[in-house]
Amino acid sequence: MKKEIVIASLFTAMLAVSIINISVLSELTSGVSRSAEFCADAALAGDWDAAERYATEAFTRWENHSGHTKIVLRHNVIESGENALITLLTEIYSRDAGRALGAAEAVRRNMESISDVERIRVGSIF
Amino acid sequence: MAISIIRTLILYTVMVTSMRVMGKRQLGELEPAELVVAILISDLAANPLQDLGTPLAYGLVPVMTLLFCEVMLSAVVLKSRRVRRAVSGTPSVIIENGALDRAEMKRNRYTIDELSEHLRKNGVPDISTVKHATLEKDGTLSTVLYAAEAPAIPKQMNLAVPEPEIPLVVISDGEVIGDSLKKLGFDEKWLSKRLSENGNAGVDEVFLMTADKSGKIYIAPKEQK
Repeated sequence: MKKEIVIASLFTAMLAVSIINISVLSELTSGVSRSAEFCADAALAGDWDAAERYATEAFTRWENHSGHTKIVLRHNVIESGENALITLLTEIYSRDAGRALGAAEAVRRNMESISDVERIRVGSIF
Repeated sequence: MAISIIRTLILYTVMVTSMRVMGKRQLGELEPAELVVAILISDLAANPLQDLGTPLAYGLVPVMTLLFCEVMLSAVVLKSRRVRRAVSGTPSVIIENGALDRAEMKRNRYTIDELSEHLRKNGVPDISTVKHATLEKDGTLSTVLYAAEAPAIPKQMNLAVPEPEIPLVVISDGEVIGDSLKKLGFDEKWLSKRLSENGNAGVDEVFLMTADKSGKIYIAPKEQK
């Protein structure tokens, strides 16, 4: 019986960690998406300093979570998110509003896809 | 991670059910649930090993989930006869009092060829000598021969036979296994004596030596160059 209790406790802990992981990832991806949206709005308004600040904020937020993302996400998914954010920063530095909007949308979609895959839904299970 | 757990639970249930539906012929030595774990676990563990871009958690989480399923199922199976029957199945009597049960064979999709093969593997070349044959839950066949066909045992012949002793390895590749000697109640003095009696100068010359409590020994010397 001791073995069963240990295994059941481990499984419960694993389940709890996985639920926490969903919430942490969801918070991260929505935070990055929000910064990217603010960045796009600022770029559209011609406020490039604010756009740069938001883009950097999104990138820093993503990078600060690398310890966690490397454990729970496939490395190609992490790279894809990182590349989208670098592209956004590049477009902001080049002061091209149209391309910056596109890059911000790419970041938003990327984050949405990461969050969707981890969220418990029939679609992501099957 | 959570998706990984749910997927593993679904796959485990589907595979155990499939194995049960497929029947005993597909098994061999393992029971359905054990076979499922054996099939899944190697693949799951190999994935993060082969692909460094896959986090270790992608292998660990499903393996842990399978471990949970297996341990919990074993615990439930131990307590409930109904669950035991549902998960592991029940043995099927294929031959009863010398008569083949064709309905049971059909139910298990068990052919005459397979029955003959299993009987031969059990050392029974003639089916007419079999009184009972049971297809066990793990897919193996156990047989009971007619009394007149079964080998006689010492009791039936009123013979007094000494109880067998389990031999232990006392020398392995020139090295004395002290624990074995102790278990047998012998010492190195006894060992040296037995070696010299059998024409061996020393422990170094012996590749393998076994002994049992009655003092019966077997010696395989190292190959002479």
